[in-house]
Parts: sequence; structure tokens; C-alpha cells
Amino acid sequence: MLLCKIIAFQVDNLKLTYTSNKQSNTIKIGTIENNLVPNIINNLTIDDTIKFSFQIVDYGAVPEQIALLVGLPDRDLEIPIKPTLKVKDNSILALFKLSLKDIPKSILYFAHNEEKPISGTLIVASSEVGKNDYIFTKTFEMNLDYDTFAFDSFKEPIRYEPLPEIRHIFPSPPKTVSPFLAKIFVGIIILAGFGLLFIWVSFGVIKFDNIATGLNLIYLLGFIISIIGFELVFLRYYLGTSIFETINTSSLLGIFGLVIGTKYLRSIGNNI
Amino acid sequence: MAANTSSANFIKTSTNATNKKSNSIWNDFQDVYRVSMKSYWDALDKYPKLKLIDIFCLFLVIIGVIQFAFLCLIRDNFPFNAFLSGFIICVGQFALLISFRMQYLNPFPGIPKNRAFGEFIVASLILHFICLHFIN
Amino acid sequence: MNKGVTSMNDDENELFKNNFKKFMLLLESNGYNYTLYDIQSSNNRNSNDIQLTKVDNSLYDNVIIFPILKASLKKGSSASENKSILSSKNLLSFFNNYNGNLMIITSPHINNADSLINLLNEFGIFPSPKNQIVKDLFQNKDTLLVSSSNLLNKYVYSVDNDTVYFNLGESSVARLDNREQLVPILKSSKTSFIDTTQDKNFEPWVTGSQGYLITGFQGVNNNARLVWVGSTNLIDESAHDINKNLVENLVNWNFNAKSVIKTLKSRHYHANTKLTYDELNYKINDVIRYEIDITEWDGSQWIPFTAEDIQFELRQVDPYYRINLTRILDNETNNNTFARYTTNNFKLPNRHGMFKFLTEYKRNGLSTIKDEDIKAIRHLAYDEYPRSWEITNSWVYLTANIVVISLFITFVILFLTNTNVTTVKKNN
Repeated sequence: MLLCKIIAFQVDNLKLTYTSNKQSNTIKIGTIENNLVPNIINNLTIDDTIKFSFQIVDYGAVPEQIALLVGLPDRDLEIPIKPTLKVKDNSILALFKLSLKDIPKSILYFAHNEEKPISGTLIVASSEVGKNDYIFTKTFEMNLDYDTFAFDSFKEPIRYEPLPEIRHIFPSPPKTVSPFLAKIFVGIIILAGFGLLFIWVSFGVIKFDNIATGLNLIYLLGFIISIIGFELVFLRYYLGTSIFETINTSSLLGIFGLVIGTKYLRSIGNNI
Repeated sequence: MAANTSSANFIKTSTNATNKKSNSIWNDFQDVYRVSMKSYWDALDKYPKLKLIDIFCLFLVIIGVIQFAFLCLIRDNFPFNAFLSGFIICVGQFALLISFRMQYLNPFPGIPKNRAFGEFIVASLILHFICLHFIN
Repeated sequence: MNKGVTSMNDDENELFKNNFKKFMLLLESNGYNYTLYDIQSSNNRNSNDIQLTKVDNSLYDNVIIFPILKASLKKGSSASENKSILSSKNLLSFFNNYNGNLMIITSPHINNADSLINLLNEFGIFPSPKNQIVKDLFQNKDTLLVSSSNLLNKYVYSVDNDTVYFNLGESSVARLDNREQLVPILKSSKTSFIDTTQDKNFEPWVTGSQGYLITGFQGVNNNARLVWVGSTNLIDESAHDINKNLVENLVNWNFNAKSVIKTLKSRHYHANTKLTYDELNYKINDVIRYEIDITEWDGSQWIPFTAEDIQFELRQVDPYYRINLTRILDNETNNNTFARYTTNNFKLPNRHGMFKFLTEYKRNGLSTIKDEDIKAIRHLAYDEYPRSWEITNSWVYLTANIVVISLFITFVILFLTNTNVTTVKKNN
């Protein structure tokens, strides 16, 4: 039976050193416990580095898990930083060094998009110590100056998701003129028609003194009726009768009109 | 009688014109215009039926111009087929009338006047059908 | 349903008699008949005896591969590498061409067979090498306990109320590619790590929540599924009571008995007259309605499938329409085995040509559906345009026509009834 000695360790002497504008600033955090309020560092550029160090006192062996997770914990997007360890007597000095240019583009991209700080979470655990002594806490948060970082080449990974709705935009139908204006011009044209009749009357060319007599009158009437008939057939075609119906009646009317017409025109000879 | 006096006047004015050699082109043009107008009115007097034809032609031009003015007013030839149909019926009817008038005054060899009239009517009917079809 | 399963393993059959017995019973109780093949035994050294497929048909629907040593697939078998049943080419063909489902279990204690690792790498799953074992001291020092809050896909398995801790024992962890067909099922927690204090000669494969303990893969065109599990402890006797629900749902998802959807029928017709395309062809600017029936298999029967984000596309080359489908709930589709979705009325674009009526639904964890129909949409016929009396502009030109025609008629009448005698106005 193995006797387990319950050993506790204490993480002490936390120091956070960061460079900003080529100046080195140090924050002493001291002892650490869980639920520590993270220190916020602002305006870091791509050339800066962060050094995070602490001491584990009263403890001999190296804990199995010492890691600093840097990234966005809500998104589960973090990279681990390995520490360099120095063992001295009973204490261990752990040092993490992070150059900001090593932060992967995905973390920069999402931190910039969601406007969230990049946090550093410290985990220290060992299988020979009780769970209450484990350390798992956010130690610092960084707000970067994203203009100095280059992450334009990062593209978000494609995932299955619904795409935006598209509704086809129809071209607007052609604009037609207002009926009022159209009616005015219709009136003008009809007026011109009546004007023609009026001028004909005023020039004295309406006399009706050459109406044919007897058989020729019938021929004349037939001729005029066939012409009017043709125009009516054409009007019926415009209003929707099929072309075949139109051709049928036109051919019948045509035969009739041609016969009557030639008879009439022959009768008047060159006196037209 | 009246014709003799008018021709005498004509000879008088022409001799006057030839005397002035340094006359400008404008005067020549005025003379030509006067001569052609005179022959026109004389023809009209001889064949009054030409009045029917000429006034009809004039009003066809007027109706064509009205349609074109409508087009220019609204700056849109939207049913272009309709505009063409209305315009072509005026222009076509005008052309057919003029060709009949030509044959009326000086008949073509081998085509008597009444046959010209018959052809004019047939051609006009075809034109009307086409224009009604084209305006849809 | 007779679902054949073959399991291939490398360990002695005692393992199957002891540790995996409850797992095999679980398979049987879910309706899977299985056959056990042992690669190691001398009978099967010539692995030509095991056939997964025969000519055009597959002999089995699903294959579970237990951890196999690299060594047992090498010079021992007289068959050449490519013909071996466990070659990655063979398994890939089983997955792609015969729609066979695969479950691959690897162990962190052995050098896993190359062909299996190559196959997994092809799918974008990169398991950790030998002896890299994940530990999470914050849960348990001796064995890996993973909280159910690390479950990633509700279509595979999700726990509603209390968190359960799954016992994965000693497990390897995998890195994943960024493909959308991968279905990560269980990720490792933030506090997990790979212990390098004993042997400092290797870099840990992955640390924290970037590693995955159970991953799936959904084939897109063939609806076959693959699952990789990093530890045999998941299915072991000792952890059976804790892991049972996860294993059962995992196996059912893997073997296409869960989260499987299917389209039954789709139809489209004119919105006002309800005539289909065959009865009255579509022309441009017609108002159309599209409907599709989708059903889901819940393990024992088909039930209606409900979702809010199914989309319908009307495409020629690019989509002209992408419409979210809404579900119809009426007497015909209530209490039925499917759910009917409709686009409501939409107007066909004023472009003629061949159009594709397409509904495609791909989501992580669900099987994919694709329903497409290609139809020709014609332009207006010569008599379907508006008539001139309907257009106000053309009233003017129409009256010009009519006026000229009537003037022509009066002209003819007057011309034929006049004489050429002039009424000479005698002035003097």
C-alpha cells in the first residue's frame, strides 16, 4: 500500500512583463488564486512581447500540467504556450514568453471581428495534489492594435448554413402616357379628319353630279360596298378574328369586288 | 381667250427679264417659282378632281406630323410598331395618291386611267390591311 | 431490418468474450446482426476470405474495426497490400461506392495499422501517435472523464438537463481538418493535456479544446457515415453503464438509424389554376408554387421532419430565387409521416430558358437531401402581348389609322361621283 502524502503547492510571485512602445512594463500580481481579476493590457502591437513568470514554492517535483492558454476561451480557440522551467531547491520558476507575432491569424481575426480581448489563461495541475489546489484562471487580457497586425489573408472556414434569401427584381414595365394626354391627341387627329371634310366642302368639290344611272349605278354601289366590306373585314381581323377566317372572307369578297369593280370601271372608261 | 392674254403677259415678262443680264439667281428662282405655280393652278382649273387629291394629301401630311409631334412631346416611342403603323399609313397613302395623280395627268403607256384607279384602290386596301395588322 | 455488421479486430477473442460483451449485446438489442472476423488468426491470414462486397452488391451494411496492430497487416498476409480487405482503398470504396458505414476504433497503446491511419487522414482526421494519451486532471487523475457539455452535435447525441461524465479511459485525441463534412462529436475539455513529463522527447499532439475524442464524417453524395473513436474504453464493460446512452446513440447515428432525412415527393404548379407543368407549360412571369415533402427516420418509423431553414432555389446558372420554405399544417399533412413545406407564391423571372427547381439541405450531423427538377420556361407567344387598345400611347396611332381609312372611303366615293366640270365663277 502506497502512502500518499498529500502535498499542496502554492503559486507565488506572479509577474507580468510586457513591452509597449519599446518600453518594458511590469505588473506584479503576487499570489494567485482562482477567480483572479485579469489584468488588462491595451494597445499592443505586433512587435511586442509578453513575459509571464511565477514561482511554485514548497514543492519538489514538477507538476504535470503547466500551460498558458492564449486566445478566445468562449470560442475554444486557444494556443498553449510551453513554459521554460528552472528548478531551484524547493521551488520551481516557470517562465512563459509570448511574442505577439506568433499569435495565429484565426485568433486575431475573430478577436478583431467580435471586439473581444485575447486572454491568457493559466493552468497548473498535478496528479499528486488535491484538486482544490489546481490553478485555472484568466490572468490577463490583451487589447491589440490591429492595424499593426496582418491577418487579411485569413478566410473563415466554410460551414453548412442557410444562405441569404434572394428575390428576383423585375424590370419595371414600360411607362405609358396618361390617358388624358392620349385622348387630347386623339381629338386633334379626329379634328384634322373633319377639317379635311370641311375644306373639301368649302372648295366646292362635293357635288354628286356624276352618279351613274341604271345598271352602272348598281355596279357603282356594289363596288363601293365591296370596298367598305374589305375595310370591315380588316377591322374584324384587328379585333381578333383568326387570319384564316379573314383570308376566306377576303377571297370571296375579292372575287365579287373584282368582277363588279371592273364592270363599273369599264363603264366609265376614260372619263374618270 | 384668257389663255392668250396670259401667255402674252408671260412673253412680256420674260423679255424684260432677259434684258437685265446682271439679274441675280434669286430673280431666276422667283421666276421659276411663279411659272410652276401658274401651271399648277391652271391644271387645277382644268381638272377640279385634282383638288380632292391634293387636299387629301395635305391632310395626310398634317396627320403624320401630328403623330410625330406626339412622339416628340412624350419623348418615348414605346409601342414603336404602333407609331410606325400610323406613320406608314399616312406616308403610304400619300405615295399611292401621288402616283395615281401622276397617272391621272399623264397616263402611263398601256394603262388607261380607270385601270390606274383600280390599281390604286387595290394597293390602298393592301396598305390598310398591313397597317392594321402591324399595329396589333 | 437485417443490418449486417462485421467487426474486425486484432486482439484475442477473449476480449470479445469479456470486455466487449455488453457492447455486442447492445448492438444486438438495436437490431444489428453481426459477424466477427479475426485478422490475426491463421485462418484469416489470407484475407481474401473476407469479402465486404460481391460484384455489385455489398454483403454488409456497416463495418466496425477494432484496434489493429500495424504488424498484423504486413508480411503476414499473402495477399498484396492493395487487395487486403483493410487497405484504405478497399474501405474507401466500400464507403463511397457501396454506401457502407464505417466505425474505426484506434488505441493509444499500439501502433495502429497504417492503412487505417491513412484512411482517417484522407477524411481529415489526424489521431495522435502511439503513447500520447489525453489526461484531464481536473476531472479525474486515473481515467479520462469527459463532461457531456463537450458534446458538439445535437443530431448525434445531446444531454438535456444534467451533465453526465463519460468515461473514456485512456484515449488518443485527434486534430481535425476544417472541412464542412466532418461532424465533431466530442471534444476534449480546455484543461486536457498530454503528459510529457516522463518522456520529454515528443511534442504533445494537441492541447486543450483543439483536440477531438470522437469524430464523425458525413458523406455528401452517398449518405454514408464514418466515426472514429480514440479509445476502447468507451465500449468496455467497466464503463458500460455510464457510456451506454452515448454509445447507443453514436452507433445508431453511425449506422444511419438516426438523424436520417429523406424527401418523398416534390411538386410545383401554377398558383391560381393549380395546373402542373405537364398540363400547362410555364412561361415567363407566371406565378408558381413549389412544395416538398420531407420525412425523418427516428429509429423505428418515419416521422415528419421539422426545420426552419430549408431553402428552395430557382437556378439557371446563378440562383434567381432563394426562398425559405415554410411548413404547411393542414388536414392533409397533419398526423402523417412527412412534413410538407411550401415556398408560397412566387413569380417566375422574366427570362426564358432551362431552369432548375432545386432543394438541397445539408447540415452538420444530418444526412443530405437534394431534389432537383429541370424545366424549360418559354417566352411569351405572339398573341400574349398587350393589344394596342390596352396601351394608351397607341390610341393616337390607332385613331390615325382609322381616320385615314375612313377618309379614304369618302375620297373614293367622292371621286367616283364628281364630274370634271368646273363651276366657273364669272366675275365679269
